[in-house]
Amino acid sequence: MQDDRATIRDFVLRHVKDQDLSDDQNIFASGYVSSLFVVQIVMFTENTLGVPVAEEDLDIENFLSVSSIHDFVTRKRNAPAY
Amino acid sequence: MAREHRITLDAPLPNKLVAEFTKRVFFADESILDFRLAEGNSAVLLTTTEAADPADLARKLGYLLRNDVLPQLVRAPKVVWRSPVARVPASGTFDRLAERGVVHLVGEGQVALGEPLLTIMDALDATIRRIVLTEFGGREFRYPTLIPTTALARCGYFTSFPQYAMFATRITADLDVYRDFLDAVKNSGDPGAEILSRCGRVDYCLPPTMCYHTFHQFADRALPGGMAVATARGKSFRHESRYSHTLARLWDFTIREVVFFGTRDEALGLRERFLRRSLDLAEELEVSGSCEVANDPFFGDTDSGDRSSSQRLMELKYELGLRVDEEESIAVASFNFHERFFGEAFAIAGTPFTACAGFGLERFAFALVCQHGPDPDRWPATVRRALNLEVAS
Repeated sequence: MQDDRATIRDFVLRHVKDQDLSDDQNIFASGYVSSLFVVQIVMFTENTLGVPVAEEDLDIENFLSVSSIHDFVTRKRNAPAY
Repeated sequence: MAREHRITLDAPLPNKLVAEFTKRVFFADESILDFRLAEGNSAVLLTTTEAADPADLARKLGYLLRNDVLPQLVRAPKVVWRSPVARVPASGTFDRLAERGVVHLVGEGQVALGEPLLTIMDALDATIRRIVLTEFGGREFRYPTLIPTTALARCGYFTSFPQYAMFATRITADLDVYRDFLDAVKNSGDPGAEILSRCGRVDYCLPPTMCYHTFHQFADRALPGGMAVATARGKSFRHESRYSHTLARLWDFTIREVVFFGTRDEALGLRERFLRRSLDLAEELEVSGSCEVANDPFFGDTDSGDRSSSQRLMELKYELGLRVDEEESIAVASFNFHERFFGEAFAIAGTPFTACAGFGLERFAFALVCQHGPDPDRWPATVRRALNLEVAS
């Protein structure tokens, strides 16, 4: 099974169409996608990765780059369940 | 005679979406005179004109909820600044100004203004203008009131905010049409109903803000050499329906607008620097309020909800809100980043990234009066100095 980082990278590169985009680069600075893409990232995180995005998670810092999405997803997966 | 209706919602509206629903209800149907959410947000109680059809109202409110409101990703507003002073003005300032003859309601969302509001608005504008010209190297322009319909269409205004659009038209130039119109006006008790059928097209609109004029000015060509900041002041018009009240929400008002052009980093950097400078000004004016991430009320199109969501999530819009009474804060300024949206839409050479900031001068002056009182001569000396009001009195 593909790991989260590769899944995220595939999703982002499908839309950004800049194969040189590094994991740490700001997705939105590329000019290939508009700010509306952030909504798709949130939906992808919830629907494809199965990680719920809570109200307090709706912070741009969580969705700016492949790495920040991966960090967010990892943090949520490792968060203790109450 | 007014009628009451109770519309049951499919599911209770989450508290965090109440504001997004509330700001759209009057636009759902002109027959709605008043409304409130009830029964744990599971029903809307409407007061309407007699003509209203309850099934129709339920259908329209249901569509607004499903299309514009429920899809939104909403969190508690992110606050980027809080004023050092916390002041809660007493309510009723507008009524007191009306008693003194300073303001007079002349129509829907239209208020005639007198002194000292005129002096305060001019002083605010002069202060902001001075900052833009001297600290940001801005170039000033003045625009005609009318803006071509094609200019607003070009940037998707009508598919974003159809509810706000206001139009300017004219009777078709044709002797027969004029003669027919004269007869109709003489015989009609309602001339307003006789006009539109005799107009050919709507080629001009009343501008909803000044930055569209600026983008239109530079459409299909390059920006003048070295220009990164443009500014203009002008009358702006939005159909605010029954949301208009006091000087807080008008159909007809004045904006001082600043537009920033550049690379992504430059446009974002200029917006940030201007935002910080404006918050410094708010502190100099010793006003109570906060600056928060905000969004525009996109209305009716299939992606309205997503556009509001992305605006908030990407922090494309900040609003400076000032207290006007115990319950209400009003946005007196907004600071917006557009990415390449307007650069592309208006084919400005080089497709610059753009940002803008707009100050509602009536609102800002009203908030100052609410917080410091109606007589600028009695305002703190520091506030008067910040507005260069020392000489004016």
